[in-house]
Amino acid sequence: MILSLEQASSSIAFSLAPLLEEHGIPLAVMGMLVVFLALVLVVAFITILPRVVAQISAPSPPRPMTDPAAEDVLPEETLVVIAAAVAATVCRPHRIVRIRGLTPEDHGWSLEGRLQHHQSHRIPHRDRR
Amino acid sequence: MTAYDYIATKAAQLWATTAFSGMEPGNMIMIMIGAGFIYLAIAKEYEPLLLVPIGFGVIVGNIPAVAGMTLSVYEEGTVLKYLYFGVEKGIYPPLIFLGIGAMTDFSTMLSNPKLVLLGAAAQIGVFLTYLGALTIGFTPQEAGAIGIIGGADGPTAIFLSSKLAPALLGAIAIAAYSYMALVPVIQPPIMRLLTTQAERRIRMKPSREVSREERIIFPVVAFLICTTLAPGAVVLIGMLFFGNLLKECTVTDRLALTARSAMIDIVTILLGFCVGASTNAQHFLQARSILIFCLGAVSFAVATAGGLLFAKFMNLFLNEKINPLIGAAGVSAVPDSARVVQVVGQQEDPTNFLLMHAMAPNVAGVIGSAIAAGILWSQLAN
Repeated sequence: MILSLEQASSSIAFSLAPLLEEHGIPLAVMGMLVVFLALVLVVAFITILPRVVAQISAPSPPRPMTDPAAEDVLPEETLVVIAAAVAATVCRPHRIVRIRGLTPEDHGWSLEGRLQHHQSHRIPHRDRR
Repeated sequence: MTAYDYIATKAAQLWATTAFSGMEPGNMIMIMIGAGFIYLAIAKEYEPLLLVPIGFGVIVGNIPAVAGMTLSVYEEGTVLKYLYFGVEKGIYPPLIFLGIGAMTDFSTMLSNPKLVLLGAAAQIGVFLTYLGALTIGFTPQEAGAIGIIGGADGPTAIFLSSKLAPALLGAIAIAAYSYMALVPVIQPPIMRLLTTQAERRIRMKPSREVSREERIIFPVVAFLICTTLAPGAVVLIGMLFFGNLLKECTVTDRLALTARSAMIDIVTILLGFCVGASTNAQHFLQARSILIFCLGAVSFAVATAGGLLFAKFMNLFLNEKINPLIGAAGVSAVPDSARVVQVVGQQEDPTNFLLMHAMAPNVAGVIGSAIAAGILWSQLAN
């Protein structure tokens, strides 16, 4: 080990000459410039990124406005069919106030099933005896 | 032959077949250094995930082999040689970068892009040390491998030295990881020396929220920008951003989880152990190794100072001042240097939280050091 220390210390020679060669200061300066250039471009990209994302994920243009009342109007035939069905089901004087389509949130089938289930075991009132 | 002679002969044979016969003072010194690493890792918790495998590897690598037996990483056909293949050929570092990418959250960097420049400024340590090493007689290839220690990124240092100066790999790897472990010791004095109390108390605005789309697009485009300018960095930067894409796209959670847990752990164990095992006293204990350690310390200090001073320089032009302490995190060493910034900042103002701000130059430093390594490799490989 001592030998290697002596050998190495004899081989260590301070010289500024390598700095002036192609692989000296020019390479170091170029290296720093490339690092800065790459990261400046990254900065520029990150700066515009939110705007790019906003463009990409912008909502589709709104559809032309239509008269909501006109959309709600059902064909007369449909209205007649619904009225007939309600009359056949209710079997007493009634008035249809509103017709609307069921959405998935309404759980229409479940609601209908639950109604039928409750009606199937209706307990008669005592005063009707 | 008398019984005494027979026993003496057998004892001599036994002695010759033990490690004691080949043990030199250098091996004993290295074994003590390895034990010291393990002590620092366990008792002081300095980078235990690295120093325990390295420390034990140092001990393993310094047990002398018996004549005729091939054991070390430098001998053909040994188990250690096969494991060391990943270090020698630069296979492990990119895999570690994949795991780092899958762990890294670039959000703070994306929310405050100007802080990326601090990660570039800190690379001054790499190039000034490169010049310093040239002046004391190292070849350009060796000087490049030594300079990258200032990048404070162990895998990058190993990758570059395996390409440019394989003979110095052990010393460079040990120096890089030692200084990364000593970040809490090296950086604070430099940070206090170069900043005023008022500067250390500067508060910064909280980061904005970054959308998922930004976090997905960033790794792809940033990879293209960095590698078109420095193609030498394609392996390291590619794996880093690939890992990050796995994390951010959220449809490859299983892959991201494996990359940032089991895979990086396995590779870290192999890398640390093999680097440690390569520090055989006969190869490692040389004056050049001591020089490399000295240059590594200079590189680290200059990189820290470079980041700090550039932050102060940026403050000359900024309306919303940045705390110059976060410039010190530009040296990479994720996340230790960011933690040091937080600690030093809180010593001045306990209600000032700089950690998340410091993570921006910290991860930018990883990209910067990988680009610096790519440039040095592409320029010096031939």
